[in-house]
Amino acid sequence: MTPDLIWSGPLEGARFREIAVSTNGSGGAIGRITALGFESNGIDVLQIFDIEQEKVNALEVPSLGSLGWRLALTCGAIVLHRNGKVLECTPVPVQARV
Amino acid sequence: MTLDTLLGDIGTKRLIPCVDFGRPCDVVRVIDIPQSSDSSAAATSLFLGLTCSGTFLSATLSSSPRTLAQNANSFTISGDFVVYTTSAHEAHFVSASLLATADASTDVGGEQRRVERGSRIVTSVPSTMSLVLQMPRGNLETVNPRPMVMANIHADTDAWVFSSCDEVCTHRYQQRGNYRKAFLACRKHRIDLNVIVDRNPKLFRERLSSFIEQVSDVDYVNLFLTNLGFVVFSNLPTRADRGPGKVRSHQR
Repeated sequence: MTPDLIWSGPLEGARFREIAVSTNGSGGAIGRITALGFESNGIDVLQIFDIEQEKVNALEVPSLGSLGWRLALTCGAIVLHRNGKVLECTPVPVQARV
Repeated sequence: MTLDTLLGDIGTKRLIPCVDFGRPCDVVRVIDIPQSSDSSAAATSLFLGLTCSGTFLSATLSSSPRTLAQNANSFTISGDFVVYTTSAHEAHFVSASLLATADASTDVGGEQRRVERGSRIVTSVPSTMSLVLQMPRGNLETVNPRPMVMANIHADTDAWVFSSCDEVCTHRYQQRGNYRKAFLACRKHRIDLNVIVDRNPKLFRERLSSFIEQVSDVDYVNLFLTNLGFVVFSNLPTRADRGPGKVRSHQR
């Protein structure tokens, strides 16, 4: 099987280092992909995608603004940790801002 | 309030602080613990963190972090158990619901068993009561720890099993226990069969007909009867307490 491109966005040279997939998506989503990496400017970046039947939607997430973030293992929620501090991320659908 | 202001407020609150372990963690895991059997009740989040130096911490949204071990090297969640291994070659089993409710100063106890030197947890399979460990040489071994086996046996003896049909052909639940599964688990893992009765003797007497229906094999019934004795199963010493040649049970 050849891999399918699920998303192509305006990130500049981002490299993802941690990816988590959960199957209990919210709303109409059947799953969620969470990817954590860093951009070319050295700042960590978080991307969250909701998988629906026919498409993949990118959700808007807060800027992490620093390095060293890790993904926590959860059952669906998006939880990040850095230097022992654990924070929950609540993403907003991009279309909510339109 | 305008929509932009509202969205701005949401934007500033999208990373919500939950817990501060006070030191960098290599692995953080979050699990939701139901507060009661009622599924509508809010769940308590239990945060578990393992640092690279081996400190294993637990915390909730309302309590300060608790240090479970200073020499842990791996951990996992199995049913209601938080299972972790230490560099002292032991696997520890602590109740997750107790960790989620007890304050940091309370001793949560738990059980432990020896494991091979350098073992690390790969995963656990609660349904088969097994824990998969990776040995230092890379081989994988599966063990059936007694706390996980006992938890399954207790769940089976307490279970409400679906009854197919009654006289008016209405489906309903009957309190009859999963005795066959509990019996076979006891037999396979060499657990004293008294545990089936001692879990709740009054309930067992009420469900005796269900037990005979499920464990219908004559040999099994004979085995069960010959194993019954005046033993207080809950007071049995742990393996660590027992030395070679010591008695395996306390007689009443």
